[in-house]
Amino acid sequence: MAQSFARHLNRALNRTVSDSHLSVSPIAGDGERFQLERLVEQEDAPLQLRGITACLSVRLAVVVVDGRCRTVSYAYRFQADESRKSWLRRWEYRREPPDADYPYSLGHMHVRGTSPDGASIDREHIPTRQMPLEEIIRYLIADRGVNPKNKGWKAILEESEKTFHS
Amino acid sequence: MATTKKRTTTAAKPVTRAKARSTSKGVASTRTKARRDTTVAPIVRFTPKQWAAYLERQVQREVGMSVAEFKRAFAAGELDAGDMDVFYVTGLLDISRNGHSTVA
Repeated sequence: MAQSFARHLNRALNRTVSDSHLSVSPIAGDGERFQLERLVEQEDAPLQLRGITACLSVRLAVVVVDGRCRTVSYAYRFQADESRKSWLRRWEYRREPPDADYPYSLGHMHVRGTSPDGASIDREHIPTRQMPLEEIIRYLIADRGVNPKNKGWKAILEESEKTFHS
Repeated sequence: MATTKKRTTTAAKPVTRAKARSTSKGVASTRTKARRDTTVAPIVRFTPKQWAAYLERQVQREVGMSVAEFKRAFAAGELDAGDMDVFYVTGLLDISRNGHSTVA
């Protein structure tokens, strides 16, 4: 099931913005939990994007419940280069809060930048819904200049998102 | 005591249909490229030791401490869960404070 989900995401990625693909790793010691990310020689690596040097780091943790994949957490980082510290935007989500007193939205994004008064806004937790990867791909094409592989990319993403597993 | 030869599980290199095609055909044809989107997601299996080492590297890179140090400091309330890197690592390690379960 997790492999089907990863294949589903790879189809969306490989038909639109990247030739890289996500792998599935069963989380050691837990037969129902899986991590999805790009792995090269057992190391995580960001997805290469068509037409730009920036890249996208993706990590999803999913659990299979009643035959369906449920996202436990995700982290998407749009970054200037392969270094994770070069992030420009990051979308993060956890199904359950890391702390009972956690005050922020469980789905949120961070934007690297400054407000007009010069203050850093990096650490703001800007609330978002649970973001499917397809919406991140849309952002990469529409806003960040990634060259889509297919003229029909919007239809591909819309169709893909319809079958997104929550 | 009888000893049995354990089958060692190693992290197999991912094998994809696309790779199989490309190795058998040499230079990929246009038609092959057009079908590349059907790539099967490779399964990469870590042994428990490899998984632990993977987590150590990740946590060290993200917050500059070991998994054990992070877990201790997080449980003791010394780390701010609102910090984006701490949040990331709690997701990676699938841990939470105050009895929260990550899978409802």
